[in-house]
Amino acid sequence: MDQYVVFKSHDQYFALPVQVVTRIIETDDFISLPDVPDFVLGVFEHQKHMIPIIDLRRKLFNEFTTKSDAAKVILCDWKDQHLGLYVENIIGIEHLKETDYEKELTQADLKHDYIGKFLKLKDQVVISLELEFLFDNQQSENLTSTVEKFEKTEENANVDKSQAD
Amino acid sequence: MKKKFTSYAKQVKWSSFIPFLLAILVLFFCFYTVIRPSESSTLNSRFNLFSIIISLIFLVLSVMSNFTTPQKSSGDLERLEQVFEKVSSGDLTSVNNLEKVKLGNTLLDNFKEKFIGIINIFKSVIVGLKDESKRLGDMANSLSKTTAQSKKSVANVKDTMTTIANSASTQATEAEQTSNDMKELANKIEKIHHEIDRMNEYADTSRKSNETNSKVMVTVYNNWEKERNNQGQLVKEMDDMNKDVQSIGKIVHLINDISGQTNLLALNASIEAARAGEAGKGFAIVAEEIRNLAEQSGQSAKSITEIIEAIRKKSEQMVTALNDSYSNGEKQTETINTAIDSSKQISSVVEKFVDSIELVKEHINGISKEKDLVAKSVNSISSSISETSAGTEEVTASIEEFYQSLEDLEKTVKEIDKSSNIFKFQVDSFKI
Repeated sequence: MDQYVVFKSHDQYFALPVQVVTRIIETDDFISLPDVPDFVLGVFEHQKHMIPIIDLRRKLFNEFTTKSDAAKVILCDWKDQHLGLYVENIIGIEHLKETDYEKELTQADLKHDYIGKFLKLKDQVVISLELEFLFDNQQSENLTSTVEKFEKTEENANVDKSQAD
Repeated sequence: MKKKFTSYAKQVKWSSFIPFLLAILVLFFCFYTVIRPSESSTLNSRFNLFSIIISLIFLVLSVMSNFTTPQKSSGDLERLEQVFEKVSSGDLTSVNNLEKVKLGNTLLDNFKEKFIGIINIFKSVIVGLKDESKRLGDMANSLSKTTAQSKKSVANVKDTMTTIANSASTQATEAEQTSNDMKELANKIEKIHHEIDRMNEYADTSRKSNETNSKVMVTVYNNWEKERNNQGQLVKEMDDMNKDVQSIGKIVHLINDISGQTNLLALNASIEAARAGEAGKGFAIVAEEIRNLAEQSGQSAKSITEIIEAIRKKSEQMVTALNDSYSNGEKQTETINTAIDSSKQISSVVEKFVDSIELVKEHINGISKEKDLVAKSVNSISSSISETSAGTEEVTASIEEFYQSLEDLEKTVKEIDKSSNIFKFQVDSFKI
């Protein structure tokens, strides 16, 4: 029984393994990025890193997450860098049981790669996300490159700022 | 011819024919008793002859005796006797014939002359009496006419008096009626007077009641004003309380925020602990405890928020109700003010009413006085009419007496007329 961070998006329970999650923060104040897909809400500066923030609901269900006090950002590790998931609500850190549902879905050819496992929290079915397969290659590259560019310009700006000081 | 016959007939002595009539009677008697029962025709015819002869003999004898009676023997004395006889029956004209008669005897002639003188004196007396009787008759006639006329006039006067008496009586009745009507009117006026007094009392009572009402209304107004002030105070206090409740809400919100952040903090601590693996197990338990506490405080804060929300809603309702009540109170104030105004109006109206009643009372008093005067006048009229009536009655009685006297007079006049007529008749019976 592994520990998962359980959260809600589009009224569906999702889960990420605790090892992947670095921190949960409460904010909707992001730095907007130009020329990016609409599910990218912007970037958030955390511990001197520019972390891209993804609206999970927009990405998976094509609808923007409603802004509220309960909405949180889950910061997690993604391809040697960080990624923020904007979700509706955090349920908590739970020990979840695994099921065999994903096999049936695979047979029915309905399972996407980003769905890792189907887990159970009491009577609720919780989908475990595979962050590696959340984006296709093109999207990943674009995202990575954009963030890198942004980080560089930011660093330069900071250097200029420190030199000026 | 006829006159000659009558004068001749007068000279015939009818008594000389009696034996002739007796003889005829005896003959008839004999015929019916003796001849007819014998029923002998010869006897009958002989007797008839006998009867005729006897009758003729008797008739001749009678006529003879009549023409043989001597007349010249008494002569002028008989004529004198005849004149005397006529004079004694009232015919004095025959005396004129007497003057031509010559008696041949001087004593008788003197006697005749004296008689003629007496008769002439008597004649002149009769003529005078005739004149007087005529005058008496005329006078009686004119007196009778005058009396009749007087009687007529008096009858007319009597009728007029009766009419006057009747109208006087009618007037007296009417005056009596008027007097009674006046009494009734006086009673009614008196009643009106009473009623007006009572009305005055009522108006006074009404005025007093209204004054009391006004005072009570003012008291109500004052109390209401206090009540309204209290209500205003209450509204203000409610408002303050609402603000306090809102401050509590803010504090609770802050608590809620803190609990949320604590929760997040505990969540992150749990993540850290989990990532630390075995080493972080103890810390994970602590973090879980903190998370639970934060969760609980969050729940409490939520409950408090709900309660405060309920209180806020209720207080809002209360404030609304109070405001409604306050604005209704303004209407109430207006109503009370209207009531007070109405009361004032009533007061003025009642005062006017009292004034009017006073005026009516004065008028009624005037009417009462005038009514007394009218009653007096009516009474005096009534008594005058009574006096007139009495006078009329007296006059009627006098006229009645007068009428009676006139009737008596008429009777007497009639008597006189009668007497004069008799007198005239008697005088007229003399032929001059």
